Amino acid sequence: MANVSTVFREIGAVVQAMGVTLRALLAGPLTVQYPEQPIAVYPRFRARHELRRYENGLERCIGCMLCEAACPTGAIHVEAAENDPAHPVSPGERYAKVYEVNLMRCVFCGDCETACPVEAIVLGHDFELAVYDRDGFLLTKEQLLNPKVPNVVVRAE
Amino acid sequence: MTMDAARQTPHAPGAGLVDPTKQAMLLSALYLAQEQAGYLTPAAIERVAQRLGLSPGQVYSVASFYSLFRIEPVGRYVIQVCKGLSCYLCGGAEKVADYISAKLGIRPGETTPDGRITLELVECLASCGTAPAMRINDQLYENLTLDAIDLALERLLEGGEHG
Amino acid sequence: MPDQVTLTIDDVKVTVPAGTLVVDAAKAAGIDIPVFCSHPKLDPLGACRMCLVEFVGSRGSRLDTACTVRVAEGMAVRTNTEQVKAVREANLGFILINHPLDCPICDKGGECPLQDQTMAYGPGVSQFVEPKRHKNKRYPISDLILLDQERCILCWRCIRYLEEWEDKPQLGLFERGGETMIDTFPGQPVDAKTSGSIIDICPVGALTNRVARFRYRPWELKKTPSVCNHCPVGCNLRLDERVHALRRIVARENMAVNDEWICDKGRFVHQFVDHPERLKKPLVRDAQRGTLREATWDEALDRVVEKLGALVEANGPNTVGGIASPRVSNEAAYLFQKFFRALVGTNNVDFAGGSAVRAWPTGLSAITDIARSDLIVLVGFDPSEAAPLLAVHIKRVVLRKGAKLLIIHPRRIELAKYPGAYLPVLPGNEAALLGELAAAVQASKGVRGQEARGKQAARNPQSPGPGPQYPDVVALLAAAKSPLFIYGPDVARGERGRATVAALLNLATALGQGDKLAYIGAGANEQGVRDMGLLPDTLPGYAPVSDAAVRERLGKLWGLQPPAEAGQTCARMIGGGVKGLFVMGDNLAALPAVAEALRKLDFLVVQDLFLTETAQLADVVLPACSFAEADGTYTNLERRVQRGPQGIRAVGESKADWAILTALAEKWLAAEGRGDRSGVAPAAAPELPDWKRKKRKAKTGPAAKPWNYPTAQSVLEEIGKAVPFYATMRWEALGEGGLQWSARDLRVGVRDSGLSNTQSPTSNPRPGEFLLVSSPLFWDASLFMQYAADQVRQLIPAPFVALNPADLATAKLAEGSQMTLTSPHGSVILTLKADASVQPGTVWIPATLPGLPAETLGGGRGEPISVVVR
Repeated sequence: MANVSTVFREIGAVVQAMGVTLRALLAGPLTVQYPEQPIAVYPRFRARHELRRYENGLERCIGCMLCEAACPTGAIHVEAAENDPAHPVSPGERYAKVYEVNLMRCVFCGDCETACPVEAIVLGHDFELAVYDRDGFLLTKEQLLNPKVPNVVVRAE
Repeated sequence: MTMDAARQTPHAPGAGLVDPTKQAMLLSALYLAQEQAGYLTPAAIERVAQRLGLSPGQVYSVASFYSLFRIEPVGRYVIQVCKGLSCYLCGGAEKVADYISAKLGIRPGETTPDGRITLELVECLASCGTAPAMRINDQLYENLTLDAIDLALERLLEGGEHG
Repeated sequence: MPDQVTLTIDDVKVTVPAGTLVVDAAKAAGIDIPVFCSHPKLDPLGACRMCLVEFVGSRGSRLDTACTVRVAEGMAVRTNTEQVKAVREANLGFILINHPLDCPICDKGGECPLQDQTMAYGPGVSQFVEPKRHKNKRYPISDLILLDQERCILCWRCIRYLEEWEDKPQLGLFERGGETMIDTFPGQPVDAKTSGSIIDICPVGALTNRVARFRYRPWELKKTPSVCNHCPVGCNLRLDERVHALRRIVARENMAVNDEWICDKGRFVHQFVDHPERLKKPLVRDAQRGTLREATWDEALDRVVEKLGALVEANGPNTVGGIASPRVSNEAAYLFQKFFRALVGTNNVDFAGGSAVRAWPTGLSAITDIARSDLIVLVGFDPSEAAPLLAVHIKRVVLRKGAKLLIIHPRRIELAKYPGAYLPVLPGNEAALLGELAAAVQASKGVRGQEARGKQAARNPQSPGPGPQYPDVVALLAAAKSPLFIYGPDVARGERGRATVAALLNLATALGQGDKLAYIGAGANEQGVRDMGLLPDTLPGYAPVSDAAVRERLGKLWGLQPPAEAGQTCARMIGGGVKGLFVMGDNLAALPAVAEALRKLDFLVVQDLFLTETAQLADVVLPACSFAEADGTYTNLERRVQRGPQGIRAVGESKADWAILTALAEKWLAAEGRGDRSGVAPAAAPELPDWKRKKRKAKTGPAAKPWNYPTAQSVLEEIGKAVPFYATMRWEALGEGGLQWSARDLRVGVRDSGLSNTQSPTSNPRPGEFLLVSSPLFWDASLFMQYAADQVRQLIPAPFVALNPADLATAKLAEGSQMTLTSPHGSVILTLKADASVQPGTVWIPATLPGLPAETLGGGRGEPISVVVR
């Protein structure tokens, strides 16, 4: 009978489906208990900007304003100044006196990272950007240099 | 429209106020000035510049270009060891310089602490046929051997007049 | 040799004048040949080898530098062969061997010829892996310029500029081979007054502007073509702005004015534009506390209208007056005098150095005439200190075309080292000396023309003699085919000044060159301010106030005629001639004696950028804009009207001078009874209907027309109607190069050219006494310098007095000691300096030093001042 083979095929499908369910059942919950638990992000995930330093404490940023030129939304404002040779802020002659990022304008495209010749500006993993007033969206150099540890775990790509 | 296009109306060399014949005396004047203190003092350069109607900067750039003009003080005796190709091939150059270095305790470019002897390496003393060669002040020493160097240095260290 | 030469460059036929360089011919043909050392304004050199091109000849092709080879008939040049490409790549590789790749922090990055040409012609990948040579990266060659010896590519442009244009070869190439570097002689920094030009022409970022360093990146600047506001040359420059701050000033080419150079004051002194101490709000004096407090524009202007109006009503219009600055724009100057002439009803308008100076209304015939002249006579004018760009032009014509200089000055000025003659003159004796020269010139002409009649007939019995002591000078003058006679304000003040100018005119006329007489003022827009009639006895367009026809014409334009009697001069207004004074842009009270006089005023209005000494005395202070923040036109010393458009947002609530005056005039007109000067208040009740009010006004006689100036351009339009020779000066017509008004349009006769010298000559000073010489110094302590950047402010010298070394020895005075100098006008303590350029028997105290010592002693009044040094 042709129907017998159909029945076996149907049973097979049910077992297959149950297999998916069982596997899901054993895999544990997908829901993350945020904020108690960190969110898993990919290494290249782009969120709030950070300004980096060298190991010796000097700022990497040399105030070249290439990030500002590269920014498609005009979110970055840099004012450069000359280093005091006795107390340099960054290696070389020039440093960023003012470095501001307007998060309301930023589209997190990462062009600033690409433009930076000294890898000073990077988009970090801190995605918790909510603030209580609009002024808070204007990140100062101080805030950029001292980012908080983001509540994330980095997952494999 | 153009008020003064330098390139449209070239001026003859020396058409300015600098007297070309005066300028030609610069090297000779610097030699004379150098003989007085052993090197070209800033005051000497300014004096030469003033006498020849040049700026001190122009004179200084000529003086610093030629290696036989000194703009730093040197010892009473200047030993110039040739590091040219012929001297190098004849086993001179480095060996001679190293030998003198060890003997006087100074490296090329330095002066003995008593300010008597300066050692320096120079390009070709035009004595390729009689390499290796060195020069102490205006006296040329050819076909150098270590013994010959010893002899020459002894005379210097004894304080005898030279050259 | 034919005048025109035709050659072929890359199959393009191009015809250029003979003598043209191949690189310029290529440019004319639209073909780009990359260069570094070659510069259109500098002599060819061939140092960088970037311009190597192939010259195709009968014996094959050869490579040669396009920047040194001149065109020849039938020449064939190829710039696009494989060989040329390979050479360019290799050459860029060599240039970049030691050039650091710190473009991200280099000020030139973004406008750098080396960057651009490496992108266009470079190999893309460097062959060199070896470390680069290290030299000085932050090496000061002057207080204002830093040299990065690593970035330098040894093109010699800076060296050549200083040699060829400044004749100050202070930079040189030191050492040799790979160690070659640009440097100065130890202890002798670059001090040329236009040294900043080498920053502009540097093809890499080796020379940087210490004031503007790191304050900008070229791509983000908003660039506005403007004119300089420092001296009457009116150099063309560009204002580079970013986020409402003036980042830097660079030169702009105008072949008729400044070629493409500007002086260091124009380039480096611009912080006053956005200085934090700029006045941002109007200030009024608080009635109770007596101090200045911030106010609204309405309150401040109402106060001015009320107080000035009350003075006019109580004492008549001649008890108020206005003193402006010769720096303000034509628009501001015009409205200022119109406010006083048409609304207040007085001719009491002047500026410091205005009516007191016998100025020649037409200025210099043209700056380009300097290059065409063979003799330049400088009387009491030192271009090196007062107008450095003129000095550059003069040096150029002396060095390149063999022109001679005749210098008549109490001090042996810098230009006196050039061929020609220097005649030392005691201050006040200029007229006598010029008179002698004129007589001698006339006599020599007479001798030549009428030998038969004998020498006696040619002699002028009034003159002191034919001047046998100056045969060389007379020969120099007689030999000149196209001389220029230039004098400055220092010899044109007061009665003696009138005699000097008359004598100089006599001399020029005796030589048949009467139209070559030029006056060069002190203020940036002094020519324009005079054109606008900001003088007590002169209406706009140089008509005397007594000219009824002109008054009527202006009356039709303004609604009210200006008064017919001349107003008070600046000195009289300060000296108690008025009860109310409006000072626009001048810091008169910097001199304590003037401050004392201003305190006696009933009412003082000051309109300025800063809370100056004068503003501190004011009852109302109105914050004005600098030249960079407002549209305006400025007329330079050759009558060239140039545009100075707004390049940066106005600081705070400050307003343009013309806008403030317009707002003030509107309030003045709105105030009751001030629309007319008939004395009858037209008591226009508000309930009267419009038509009735109009009728009433018509009955009470003529009324001032409303001031309707929405823009500076509309003011300029009215100037065109008031000043006949400004009729064509429309904003659009001026363009970026400006327009000269023709001196031939000015139909004002010389009113007292025949004035004979009635002044007694200055006698040699008695022992222990010296005659005061007070001529300008480039780095002085003027208002703009006081608000300059730190690097510039440190160039302001400590107040000093210079004496001839011989005088110092005779008087047993030591250089560097503090001496008390006393004159009939005052006493000052100054540091003594020995200076061989100072004539024996005189002391030189530059004008506008800190504390104004020369002015305190009475300098700048046009009379010889005897000074005792103790």
